[in-house]
Amino acid sequence: MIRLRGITKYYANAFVKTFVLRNIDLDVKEGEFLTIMGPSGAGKSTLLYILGMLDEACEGEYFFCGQAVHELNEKKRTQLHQQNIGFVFQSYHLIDELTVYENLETPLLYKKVKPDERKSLVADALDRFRIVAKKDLFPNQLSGGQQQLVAVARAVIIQPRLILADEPTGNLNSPQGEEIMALFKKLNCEGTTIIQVTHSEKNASHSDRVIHLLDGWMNNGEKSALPGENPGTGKRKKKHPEGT
Amino acid sequence: MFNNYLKVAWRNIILHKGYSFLNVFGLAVGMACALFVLFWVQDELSFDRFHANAGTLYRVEQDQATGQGKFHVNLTPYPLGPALKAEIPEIKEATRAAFPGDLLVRYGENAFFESRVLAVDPQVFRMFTFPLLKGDPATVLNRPASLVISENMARKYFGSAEPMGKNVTINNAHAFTVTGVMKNLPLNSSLSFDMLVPFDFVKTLGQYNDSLGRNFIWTFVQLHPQGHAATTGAKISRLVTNRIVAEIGSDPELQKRMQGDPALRKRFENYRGPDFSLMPLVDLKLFAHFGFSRNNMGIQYVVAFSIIALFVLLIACINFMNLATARSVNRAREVGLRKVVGARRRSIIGQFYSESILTALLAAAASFVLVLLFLPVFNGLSGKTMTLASLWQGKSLLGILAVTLFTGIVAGSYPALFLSSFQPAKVLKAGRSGGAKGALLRKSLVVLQFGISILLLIGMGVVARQVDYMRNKKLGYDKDQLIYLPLRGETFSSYAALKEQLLRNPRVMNVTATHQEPTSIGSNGGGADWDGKDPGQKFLIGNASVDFDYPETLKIEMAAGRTFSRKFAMDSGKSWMVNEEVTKLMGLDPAAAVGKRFTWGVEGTIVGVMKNFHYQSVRSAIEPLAVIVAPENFRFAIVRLKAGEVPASLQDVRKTWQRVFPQYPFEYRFFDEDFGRMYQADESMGSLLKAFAGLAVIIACLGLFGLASYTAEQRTKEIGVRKFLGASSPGIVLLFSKQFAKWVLLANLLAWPCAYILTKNWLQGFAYRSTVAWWLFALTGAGTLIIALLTVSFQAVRAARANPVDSLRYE
Repeated sequence: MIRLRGITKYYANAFVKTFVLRNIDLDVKEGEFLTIMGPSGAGKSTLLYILGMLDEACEGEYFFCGQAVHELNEKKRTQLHQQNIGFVFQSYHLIDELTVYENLETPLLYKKVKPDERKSLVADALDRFRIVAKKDLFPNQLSGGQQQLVAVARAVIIQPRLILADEPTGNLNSPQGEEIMALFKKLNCEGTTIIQVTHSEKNASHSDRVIHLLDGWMNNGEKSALPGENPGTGKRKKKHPEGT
Repeated sequence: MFNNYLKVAWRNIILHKGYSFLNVFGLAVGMACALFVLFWVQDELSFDRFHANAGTLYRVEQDQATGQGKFHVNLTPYPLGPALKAEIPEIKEATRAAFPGDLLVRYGENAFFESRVLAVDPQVFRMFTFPLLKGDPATVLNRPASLVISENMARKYFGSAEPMGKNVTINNAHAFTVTGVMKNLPLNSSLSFDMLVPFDFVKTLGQYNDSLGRNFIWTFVQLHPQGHAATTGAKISRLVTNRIVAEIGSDPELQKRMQGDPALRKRFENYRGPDFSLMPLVDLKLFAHFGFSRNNMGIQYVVAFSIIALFVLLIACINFMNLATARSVNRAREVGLRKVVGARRRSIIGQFYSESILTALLAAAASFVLVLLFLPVFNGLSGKTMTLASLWQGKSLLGILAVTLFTGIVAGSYPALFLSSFQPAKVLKAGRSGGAKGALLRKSLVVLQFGISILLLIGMGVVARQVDYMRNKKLGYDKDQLIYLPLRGETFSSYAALKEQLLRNPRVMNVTATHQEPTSIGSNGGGADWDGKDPGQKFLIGNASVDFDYPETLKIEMAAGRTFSRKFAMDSGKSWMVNEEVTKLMGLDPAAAVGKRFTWGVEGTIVGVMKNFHYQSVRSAIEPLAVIVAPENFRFAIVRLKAGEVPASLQDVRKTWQRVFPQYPFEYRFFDEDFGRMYQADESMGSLLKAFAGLAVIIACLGLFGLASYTAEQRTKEIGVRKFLGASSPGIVLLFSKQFAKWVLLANLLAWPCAYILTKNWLQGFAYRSTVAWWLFALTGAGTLIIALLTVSFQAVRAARANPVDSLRYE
């Protein structure tokens, strides 16, 4: 599903280039649950943003479902991202001025979903995440866990093939964090590919595979095993359910 | 989608009440200015367009070539109208229009002087749209003694009685019958009159002159649709030249002189009359001009005020942009998020535009309230009579909509383009950023705002100084305690008796008379001749018939020679007094000109040279003037009252008048009042400029205040750190103020040259002008700096006095 080759990202000023990512090769299969780990400043979030098409690499190639993202124009890229990718952040990032209902509605508006369908999709999401009672509240009237629940709901509402999560439990207490992780697990079982960034080994344990970043280098044992595989061939590994 | 935008916009407005207020209020004031000017311009542009034939109606005008330059005249000879209609095929209709002067109109006990009586040809009703309430437009002026009056006049003379068929008397001698009642003329008509009489009445009054070389009245023409104004003008010039040549050529005396004088014959054969042109009726209001100068046409004010209003609106828009981008820190996250959930840049731009248009709509509502509140003030300044009803119509509402959209789009443009460019990866990761990015542009915009304000302030100062200068300009005579009395109807024939009786009163210092309004002698001609004059050259010289004691009464100083005196028989109609300008044309010193031959209608001699004095408005240059004693022409008596006893002496003059003319009401005007009126246009321009400049400064300061409070907010941490490091509160205030002071100083430096060039240019339109004073610039600079610092200091002091612990604890 995802194939990165030689992805490099740096910030340049007049004298020095500060490298954030160096020559990253990565393949992610559809339905995989991948965790990216590494200390602060290792480039984890940058990698995630590049995967989410919110940021561009300076060098390298990025194929998403066979499409060369690095060659697309902004319009096409936004479309691709709009249809396929949901984002979840550490600090929830809901729009403060909108109610829970309106926050869930927003991605559908940009996707130009018809009003009737929109209503039913939002209603389903509210129902599924058990936040119907909160639908008219503003984000600052909710607890952190509830906000993150809404954020996940917002990511899921467009029925994405890929969810990118940037330390989704970082601001939550453990029961809340557990709830969110369980949710991810469930979504993954239903077929959604998930890539998360986290510091927590416990969260990482939910995933199929873990890669480590350090100072922009990708550094893990499986690396050597992967380049041979070609995700573009349509080989799909069916997930085994891992308990409920 | 749009709903969603509006929701966010509305919630943002409510959440940040203070800034929203600054925004909406600033925009509302700017828009109110723009609306006032828009309504004013709409009104100016609407002049004379109510005529159904407006597009094909013209006034015949001419340019006369003279030794002093081109002289533009909008009067024409009496017989021109019928000649045009008869001989030029492009001309469908022509009418003459003459004001026969003040007429005493009497119906039984009701007798009033009417100055707005116009003598016209009957086809006026076919050409123009002056709807009749009663009477048949085709025949209403056909009979010689018919009279058409306006509704107002009907009410004034006949009350509620039926006006049609009523008989009135004009000047106690001529009987007229009301044959038509017309609707009152709309206010946006350049032609304004209350009564119409058949044109031949001017002949009855003895005012007619059948020469085609002398100009007295207006001629209006209607062209056939395919007629072309420029070619028709050329045809008129040819027609008039040929007629004049025929007119002069038929003079047997001239024929004889030409036989002995080949040079004269050559001049006669090469004679070319004035260049005629057609001025479209709809341009009359804004492009009319007269005399040597084309300055101070109405259009210049329309353009100037449109630009000024646009400037004020721009200042308000800049406030919006600045506050919006300053707040971008807060909005960046939202933009990032919207992009994360799939928004394209275009939709973000759309969102910010809808936000600015929403704000503009709120501001429009507020500005409408402001417009209604300040309508009386505006009417007072501009001389218009706008009402709520006149604003509540399609054109004005369209104007409001246009101004609102303009404001929304201009004000929203920068925030929309700037904010929508945020990269989600950056704004979401870094938490806060973006604030510094727009800083340079924000600074430039503030500089622009203050630059414009400074420009307006300096402009205001220069206009005020010029008006002051004109008011205090030495006129060359003493205008205090001078009054003049119009000698209406038959009163001029008893002027001698009036003068004699007035002079018996010790409170009356002196009495004289003229044939034209004494404060603006407008009549001139090119027929004067003197020894040594280039016969091929024509010079326009002002002429006035005056009584003895003219220089003595006005206290005009003599440059050479003597004043008119009854001791010399020739002084009654054969002697001339001229001003210094005439002697300049003659190429002589004033002293040398005395005793020289001066022929103008009558063969005469110059007996005295008056020092130059302003016989017209101080706006125009003093032009040559020659005066002669001609009692048959007197229309105004001039009386100098005793200084210090003005009310009592005025009372005496009134009593004398009533004794001499029991049947004519006493009317008088002070010279002073006339001069006050002459500068009214400049003064109201000055007042409007004052209002606009003041508003511009206020709006700019509102913006500065908002910006300062944001800067203070953003720099809280910096200020906290500085205080930990030992900075004092005054030090912080200074640090804070310095940055704003820099911008205002820069604005001054940029605005000064522009202001200098613009005001210098404006002053060129005046023959006598004040200077562009350097201290005006210094004063404006200091003033704006102080105002800006006062505005900023409130925020600066608050920031400086805040407890640093509070600001740092949460970082």
